[in-house]
Amino acid sequence: MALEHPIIPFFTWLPFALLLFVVLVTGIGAVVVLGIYLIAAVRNGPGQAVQFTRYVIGSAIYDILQLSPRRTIAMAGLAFKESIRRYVFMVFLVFVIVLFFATLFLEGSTAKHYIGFVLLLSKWLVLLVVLILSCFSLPADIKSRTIYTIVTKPVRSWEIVLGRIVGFSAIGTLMLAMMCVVSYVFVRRGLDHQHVLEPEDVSLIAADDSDGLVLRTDVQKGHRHRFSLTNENERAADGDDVERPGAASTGVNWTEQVAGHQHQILLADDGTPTFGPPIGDTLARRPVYGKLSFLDRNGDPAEKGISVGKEWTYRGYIEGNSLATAIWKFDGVSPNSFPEGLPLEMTIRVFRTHKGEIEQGILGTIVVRHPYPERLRPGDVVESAPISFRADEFVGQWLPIPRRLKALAPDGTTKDIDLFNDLVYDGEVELRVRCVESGQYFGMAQADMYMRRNDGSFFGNFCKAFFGIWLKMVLVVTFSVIISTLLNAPVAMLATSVSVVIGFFAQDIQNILTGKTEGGGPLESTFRLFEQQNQIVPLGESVQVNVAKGIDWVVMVLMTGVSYVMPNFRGYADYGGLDTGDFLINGFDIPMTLLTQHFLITFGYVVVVSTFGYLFLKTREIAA
Amino acid sequence: MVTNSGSTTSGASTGEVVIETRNLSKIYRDFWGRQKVRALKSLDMEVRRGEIFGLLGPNGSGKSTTIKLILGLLFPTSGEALVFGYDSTNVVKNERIGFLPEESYLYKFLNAEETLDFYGRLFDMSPEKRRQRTQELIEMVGLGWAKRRQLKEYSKGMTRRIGLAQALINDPELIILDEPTTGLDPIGTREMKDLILKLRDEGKTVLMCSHLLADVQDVCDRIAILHQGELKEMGRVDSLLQVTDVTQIRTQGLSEEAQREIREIINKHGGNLLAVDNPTTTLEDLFLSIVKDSEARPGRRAR
Ligand SMILES: Nc1ncnc2c1ncn2[C@@H]1O[C@H](COP(=O)(O)OP(=O)(O)OP(=O)(O)O)[C@@H](O)[C@H]1O
Ligand SMILES: [Mg+2]
Repeated sequence: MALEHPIIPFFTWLPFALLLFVVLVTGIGAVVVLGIYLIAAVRNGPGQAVQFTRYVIGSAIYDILQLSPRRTIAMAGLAFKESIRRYVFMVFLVFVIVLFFATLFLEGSTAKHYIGFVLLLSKWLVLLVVLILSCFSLPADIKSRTIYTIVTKPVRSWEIVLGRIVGFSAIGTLMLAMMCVVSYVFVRRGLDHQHVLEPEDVSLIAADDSDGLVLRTDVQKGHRHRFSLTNENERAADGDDVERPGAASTGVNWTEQVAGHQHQILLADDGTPTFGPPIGDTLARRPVYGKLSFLDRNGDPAEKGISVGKEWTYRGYIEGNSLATAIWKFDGVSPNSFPEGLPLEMTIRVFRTHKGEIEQGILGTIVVRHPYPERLRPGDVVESAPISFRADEFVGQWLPIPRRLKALAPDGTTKDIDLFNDLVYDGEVELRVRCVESGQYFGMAQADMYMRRNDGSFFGNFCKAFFGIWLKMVLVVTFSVIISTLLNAPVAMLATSVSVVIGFFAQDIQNILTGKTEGGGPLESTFRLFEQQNQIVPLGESVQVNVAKGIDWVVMVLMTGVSYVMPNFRGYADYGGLDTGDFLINGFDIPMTLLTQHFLITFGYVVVVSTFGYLFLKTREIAA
Repeated sequence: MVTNSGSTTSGASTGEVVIETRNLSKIYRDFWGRQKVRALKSLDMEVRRGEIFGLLGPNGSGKSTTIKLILGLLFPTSGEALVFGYDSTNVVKNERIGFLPEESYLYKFLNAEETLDFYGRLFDMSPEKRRQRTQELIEMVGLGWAKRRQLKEYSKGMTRRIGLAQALINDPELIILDEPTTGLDPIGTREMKDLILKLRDEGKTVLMCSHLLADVQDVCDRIAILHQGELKEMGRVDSLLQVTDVTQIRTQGLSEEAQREIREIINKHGGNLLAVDNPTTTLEDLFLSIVKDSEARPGRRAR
């Protein structure tokens, strides 16, 4: 999981977001007023246009003051009833049936696949349903003229628009709530399994010296785990620690991690190992991130680690057996927050220039270091003795730093030190990682090492991910309802889906127009697709090519324009992206601050977009 | 030919003005703003409190257009329409208006009770009041037996009735009815007409449009006749229909002898005996003659 930047704290984000909102609303407002004026001027001449513009803005403000919750709820209730009477909950049945069949091909998959699948299915089903519902509702009313009986009642255009948004969102909410619970049960049941000792290995246990033997569990859900019955504490002493999923679980034996989870090993009275439930793939980790910087191979501060070319620039690499170091600085560290020591977890990428010992992870060390050695008195301890570890690739690796550490004295002897007393200064501490094996590289990004506070609840996290879908559902409803005040149902549906898709690929579209990404507009791309050309082959010069390029350019400019105003339906994009599913899939708790930010972004969209809906409806001749 | 009798049955013509249109015109345009139809041309009219005002005219003459302009469903091309002194686009006026559209366009997925309950919620009334009014109106339009059935199962006349109930949910002061009797059976038509008269007697104002002359003649106090978007005639029904140079004699139980004598007397005075007509045909005559006249000399107010 790639978290390029730390998540901006809510109260740092809020002023910027508000400022942006105000600027945008002012800008959009000015454009809208100008637009109303121009349209009125074309229709009725400039003299009347001023009056008309004033009238529209005046009534917008007046009508919003007159907005009645009672009428809005009545309209919402109508939309709700309409959906129910149209058997919309049949879709839920479809959902359950798809899940039923999905068990066939998901059998034996990892948690990532299970969770990813239910998120995807819920998301697209709900979005499709609310898209259809809310695109067809208002145009149907206008076409059948039922709307006449509404607008001749004291109903404000706001209430017609908002009522539908609320009503269809309520349908979506109900559906998502049901899908969330069913999905959760589905994932839990799909992942749950119980191993026993592999029958072939039973004889090995019988032999007296089972210590140090590598044993296997039986195959369940398409996988098995290897494990050994080595004494945990002995192994911890030589630094080659086994990863453990929980801070409080020291002194417990675990199986090897396979398919994202492991099992606790329990010994029965007769000495046969039995296994606990799968642990580690349905987590809601709450990481505390530090700040990452690098030293280059000569030990000088470097902007970034070196690039090994295969990854995007996000991750920096340090060379093995050199002075190259990755330095994480954490703050807010105190015995209160971490009484047991630092609950460190990391995911390190490895880039091998030679095979080395392929079965084993690459060796590295961590040093805990005082953040400001210059403020120490001579003779004070600057850093701990290196703690060595083997980098497991692609897997969250559990490397807790105990409170009691060893330090190397200049004379070569070791002495005991205390993490908080000796190395933490004003809540700050540094952790320095090096790669030990020459010719090998460690790749690291800021989010790759973190301290793992108490985990959140997985079900809670599941609900949070569904809340992310909920936000998108509300946005689709809002956009659909508003676009359908203007266009007829099929066109509104098309327009909404195109806008959503553009919102989805916003970044890519912008990159193509600005030339960051190689590529052309729709015509050029279609041509290349059929000609099986790649993007680099020149198209040649002809009138047709130039015309096509011209059309492409116009389309791309339009799409880029739309891409800037549409909400980002994908994840990340510096966390304004509304999709938080990846957090859940990767076992990270979705930060509340992110959800709050997303909620406010969504709310901002709803406010602005429904204002457009009001204006469209207010200035539309219902009976024309 | 037209005289103002001045005698009124309801005293309505002196009441406060409820609807007023000034120079009201409507041109329908297409998407590109090109002129399609001039549906209404400079209409000036007033509807006063407590009267039943009928808009009369052949198909496509602009009756529905006028009503839609008054309700704010359409925006006037020029001129203005005021209802209770408010501009027609002002939503506030709707608190006191009930509207029955040309056809009853209601939500087919609701039943009668839900329909009235829903429309009731759009007005400021207490839940008890709303429930009470719902039941009253369902009884009044005679749908008590079908109140739990979804409207998609309703016949045309039943839909019309629930449409009327919907228009009256807020106990409106002004009721606007677009062709109120279409789709109703003779008994239903009679009931509708009685109801309109009853509403008038309760002090409400009714604006209705129709091309069913019998309906208009039976219930309307005043009428306006439109043709091709132009106002051709406006006045009290009784005075419009009073034809001063025609004497209508209707008798019963007269002997052959007596009839011959009367005929002779009429002949003696140079008169000409006309057939004994049903009074409605008189409005029909008026209507047809106005239409014929207007077609012969377009653009002029008839007579
Ligand atoms: N939405 C519209 N767009 C274009 N023209 C319209 C529209 N509605 C009505 N018209 C035209 O305006 C004129 C008046 O129509 P209107 O519906 O007011 O007639 P009407 O008197 O109600 O007729 P009817 O007795 O058939 O209901 C007609 O020529 C009609 O074709
Ligand atoms: Mg009509």
